[in-house]
Amino acid sequence: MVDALLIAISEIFRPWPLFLMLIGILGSSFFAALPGIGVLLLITIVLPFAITLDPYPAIAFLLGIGAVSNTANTFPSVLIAVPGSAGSQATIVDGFPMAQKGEANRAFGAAFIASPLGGIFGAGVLLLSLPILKPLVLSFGSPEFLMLVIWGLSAVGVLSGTAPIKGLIAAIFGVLVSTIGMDNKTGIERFSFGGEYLVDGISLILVGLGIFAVPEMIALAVRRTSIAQTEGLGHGLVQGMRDVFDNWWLVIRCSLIGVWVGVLPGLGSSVADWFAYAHAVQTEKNPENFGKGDVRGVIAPEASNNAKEGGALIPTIAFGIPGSTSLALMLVAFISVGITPGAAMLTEQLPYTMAMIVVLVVANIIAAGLALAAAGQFAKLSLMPFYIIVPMTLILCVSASYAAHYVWWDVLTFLSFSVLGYFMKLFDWPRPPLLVAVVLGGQLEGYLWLSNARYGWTWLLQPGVLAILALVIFTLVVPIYKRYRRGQGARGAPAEPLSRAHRWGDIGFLVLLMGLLGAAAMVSDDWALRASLMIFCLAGVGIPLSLGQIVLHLRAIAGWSPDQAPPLDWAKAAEATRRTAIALLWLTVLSAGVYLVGFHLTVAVYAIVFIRVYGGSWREALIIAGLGELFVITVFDWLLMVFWPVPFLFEPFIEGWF
Amino acid sequence: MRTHFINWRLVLAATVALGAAASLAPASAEVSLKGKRVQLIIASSAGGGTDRVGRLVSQYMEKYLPGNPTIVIRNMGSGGGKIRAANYLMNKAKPDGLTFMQSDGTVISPGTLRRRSARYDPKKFEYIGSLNRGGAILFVSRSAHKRLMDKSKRPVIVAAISGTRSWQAMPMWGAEFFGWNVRWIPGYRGVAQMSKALRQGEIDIFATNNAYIIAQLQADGVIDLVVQDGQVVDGKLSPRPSFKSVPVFSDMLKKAKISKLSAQGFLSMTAPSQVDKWMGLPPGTPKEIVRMYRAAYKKSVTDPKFLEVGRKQFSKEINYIDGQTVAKMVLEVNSAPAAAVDYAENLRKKYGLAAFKKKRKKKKKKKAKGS
Repeated sequence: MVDALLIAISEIFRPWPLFLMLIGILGSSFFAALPGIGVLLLITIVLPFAITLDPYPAIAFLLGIGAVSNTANTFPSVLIAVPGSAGSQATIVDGFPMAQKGEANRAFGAAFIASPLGGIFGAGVLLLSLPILKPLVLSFGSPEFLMLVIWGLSAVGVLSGTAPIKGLIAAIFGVLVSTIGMDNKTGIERFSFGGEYLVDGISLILVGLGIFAVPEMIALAVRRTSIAQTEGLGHGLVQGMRDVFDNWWLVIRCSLIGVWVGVLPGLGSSVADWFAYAHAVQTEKNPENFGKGDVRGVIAPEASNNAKEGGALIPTIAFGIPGSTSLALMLVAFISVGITPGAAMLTEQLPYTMAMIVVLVVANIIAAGLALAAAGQFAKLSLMPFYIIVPMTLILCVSASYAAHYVWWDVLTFLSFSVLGYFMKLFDWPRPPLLVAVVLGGQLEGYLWLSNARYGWTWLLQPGVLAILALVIFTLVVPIYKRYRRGQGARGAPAEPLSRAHRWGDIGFLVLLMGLLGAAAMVSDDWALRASLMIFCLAGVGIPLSLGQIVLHLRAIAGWSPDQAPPLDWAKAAEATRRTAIALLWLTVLSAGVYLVGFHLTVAVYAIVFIRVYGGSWREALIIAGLGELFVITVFDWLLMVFWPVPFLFEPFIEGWF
Repeated sequence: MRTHFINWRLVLAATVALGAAASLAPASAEVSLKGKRVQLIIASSAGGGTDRVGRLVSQYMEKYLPGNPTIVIRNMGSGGGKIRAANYLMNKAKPDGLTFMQSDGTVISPGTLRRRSARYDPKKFEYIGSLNRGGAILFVSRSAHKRLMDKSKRPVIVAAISGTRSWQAMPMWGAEFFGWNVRWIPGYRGVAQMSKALRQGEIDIFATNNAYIIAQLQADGVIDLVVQDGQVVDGKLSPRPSFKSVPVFSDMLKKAKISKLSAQGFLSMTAPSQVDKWMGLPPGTPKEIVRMYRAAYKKSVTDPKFLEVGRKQFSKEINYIDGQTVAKMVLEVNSAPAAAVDYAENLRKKYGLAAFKKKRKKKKKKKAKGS
C-alpha cells in the first residue's frame, strides 16, 4: 500500500498533472460560484478532452474539479443568500445572517478551513476504508436508507425553531412539491395536468432561489441599507479559522456525516449539508443561536459537503456504482483511459486509487487557499449599497432559474416560489424545513414503498433499522430534554409574537395552503393507490395541522392566549408594504423583460435604471450594467453557448439574433 | 395585438426558414454547416447511457459534418424528459438542419406513446442512424437461481423501473409461458441502484445491456446469466458475440409456440430496444440535410477511434444501423396491432407495472338517466 502511495505521489506531482489539477480547481471554483449552473456542466465540457489523457493526468484533472465543487459555492450562499449549488443551501441559514451582522469575513474564514478539513477527512476515510469497501457499501438496503431519510427529516423539528406546527406544515408542503412529476412506482405523471413541463418534477435550485434569495433581497430593498448592518467588517477571517479549531469535534462529526452520505449512492448530493446542519443544531449547546448567524451553522455544512466527495468515491471504486452524477461522468472518462473500478482498484490498480486520495487532499488545500485569498474582496460586497446588490442578485437569480432547463416555465416557477418565500418570511414561517422536505420527500416515498413491497412490515425489525431508529429518537429527545433542564420548555425560547394584522394574514395564507393540499388530494383520487397514498397522508396530516394553527391564531387575536399580539405600527407597515410591492414589481419587470426583449438588453437597462432610480451614480450604473452584460456573454454565450429564444417583441422582426 | 402580427410574422418566419434552408441546401448536394452552431438535444440527464452515447458521437459528428459546425449539447432530463425531448423535436424544432436529437428505444415504443404527455409520432422523425449496443442480458442472483423454476419456493424478486423498459418483457413472458416463479417490485430508479440491491439480496433479477456492469457482477460471482434479447445484425436476430452461450429469449418463445397475439405483444415491447440509441432530425427536414447527417453519422460511428473508445465505454458489440433501416424498424414497431399492445399492457398491469390504455379522443356524450 505504501509503495502504491509513493507511486501515486510521484505521478501526481509532475508538472502536467499538477497543471491540469490547478486548471480544474480554478474552473471548478468559478462554476461552483455560479448559481444554477454548477460544476456538473464543467465536467461535461471537459469530458471529451479528459478521455484523451493518460490515467494520472485524467485523475488529477477530473478529481481536481470534483473535489472542490463545494468550496467556492459558499460565496453566494453567505453574501446574497443564493445557493451556489444544491450542496451549499444549508450554509445560507447562518451564513447570510452572519453577513448581515458584518461577519462575512468570519463566515468565509470558517467555511474555507472547515471545507478542506472535511475534504481531507473524506480522503482519509477513503484510505482507511479500502480493506472494507464492499461490506461498507452493502450494509445499507432500502429500509436503512428509509431510516436515514427519516433521520434527515427529523431535522424539520429543530429547523422549525419556535414554530413547530408551521415547520411541519412547511415540510408537508415540501414533500408535496417533491411528488410532482413521474412516479417511479406506477409511471403516473403526477400533477403534470397533461403538460410536459412538470413531468420531470420541479428543480431544487428554483425552490432554493425562490424561498431564500428573493425574500432576503426584498427585505434588503425595503430596508434600503447594505447587507451588513455594521460600519465595517473587522478582522473576522482569522476569527473564523479559529472557530473551526475551537469546534474540532463538530468538524469531525459533520465530516463523518458527509462521508457517509457520499458512501451511500442514492441519498443524493444535496442532503449532506442539511444532515450535518441538523446534527449540529440537535447536539450543540445553545441551539437557539442557530439561524441567527452562528458560525457553527456554517462550519457544519461546509465540513460535510466536501467530505462527501471522498465518500462518494468509495462505491465508485468498489463496484463502479457512481456516488453522484459528477462521478458518473468521471467514471466514463476513467473507464475510457483504462481505469477499471472493481476489485482491480485494490490490487494492480491500487496506485490509481492512491492517486485519487492524493488529489482529494491536494485539491482541497489549494482551493481553500485560493478562496481564503479572495475572501476579503468578496466580503466587501456585503458593505455595498442595496441598489447595487439587489439588481445584481435578482439578475443572477433569474438567469440561474432560466439556466435550469432553458425554458421560460422555470422562470415562472421561480417567481411562484419567490412569492411563497416572501409570504413565509412575512408571516414568520421557518423556510429550511420546506427545502429539506423537497430534497428528501421523493426518497421518503420511494424507500418506504421499496421497503414495504420487499419485506412487508418486517423491515421495521431489521437490526440496522432499529439502530438508526434509536439514533433518530436520541437526536430528537436529547435536545428537548436539555431545553427542559434549562427551563425553556419543549419549544425553546419564545418567539417574538406576531401582530393581529400579521395573524389575519397568516390565517389567509394557511387557508390557501389547506386549499392546495385538499386540491392535491382530490386530483390524486383517480390514481393508483400506490401513487396517491402519500398525497392523501400529506393532506390528512397537513389540513388538521393548519386548522390547529388557525385556532392558535384566533385564540391570540381574541386575547385568550398568553401570546399577546403587540399593536401594529400602521404607518411603518404601510411604508414596508409599499416598498415590498415595488421590490416584487422590479422582480416581475426583470422576468418579463428577459421574455419580451431578451437577456442582453434587459440586464443592461435594468441595472442602469434600478441604480439610477435609487440614487446610484451614472458611473456605478454603467459599471454594474457592464459587469452584468459581461456575465451573460461569458457564461451564457461563450461557455454555455445558449440558443436564446427570440424575444417575444422581436419575434416578428428577427430570427436567431439573440 | 398579437393576432394582428400573425400573418406577416408567418410570412417573415417562412422567409427566414427558407433562407436558412437555402443556405444549407443549395441546388447542388453541396450542403455545409460552416460557421454554424448546431443544437444536439439529448433525451437524458447528464451522465446517463443515452447522454454518454450522444456526447461521444457528437465529438465525431463535429469532425465529419461538412463545415465542421460547433455542436452544442442540451440535456432534457430523464424519465419524462425523454418524452419532452421527443415532443420538442416533433413540434418545436425547426427542420433546418440546426437541431438534431439523441434518444433511445423507449421513445419509439408503442407503450410510451400511450402516455398522456406524449405528443409526437416517431414515424415522422427523420432518422440519422442508430447504435445498438447489443440486447439486454437477463441475470439472476446465484443464491436465487434454483427458485426461479420452483413455484413451491419463495418467488424470485424482479426489480423494475417505472418506464417501459423493454427487458421487462422477458420475465413477464417467462412467468406466463415457462412457469418462472417471480414477484415484481417496481420503483427502482436505475441500473446503479438495482445493481447494489442485487448484491445485497434485496432483489434477484434484472437485466441490462451494459456489458461492463455484467462483467463486474460476474467477476464478483454474484450472478448467473439466464436469457438475452439478442442483437439484430444484418437483419437477423442472434446472440451477442460475447454472450453466445446465453439463449435468446424469442427463440425460446418460438419453440413454445405461443399465440400470434402474444408474440406480437412481446415484439411490441422488445423490438424498440433493437433500435437502441438513435439519432434523428425533426420531421420535414430537407432530404439533402438528412443525407448529410446520415453520411456524417456513419463516418463517426465507424471511425476506428470512436469504436475503440465506444467499446470501452458501452459494449464490445456496438453495431451501427443506418437511418433508413432505423426508419423501417420504427415503422414496423409501430405497426403492431392495438390488440397486441393491449396484450403487453395488460400483462404489465397483471404484474403491477406501469400500464397505459390507448389514448382516446374525448367525446361529448350525455348519459341518459336510467340507460
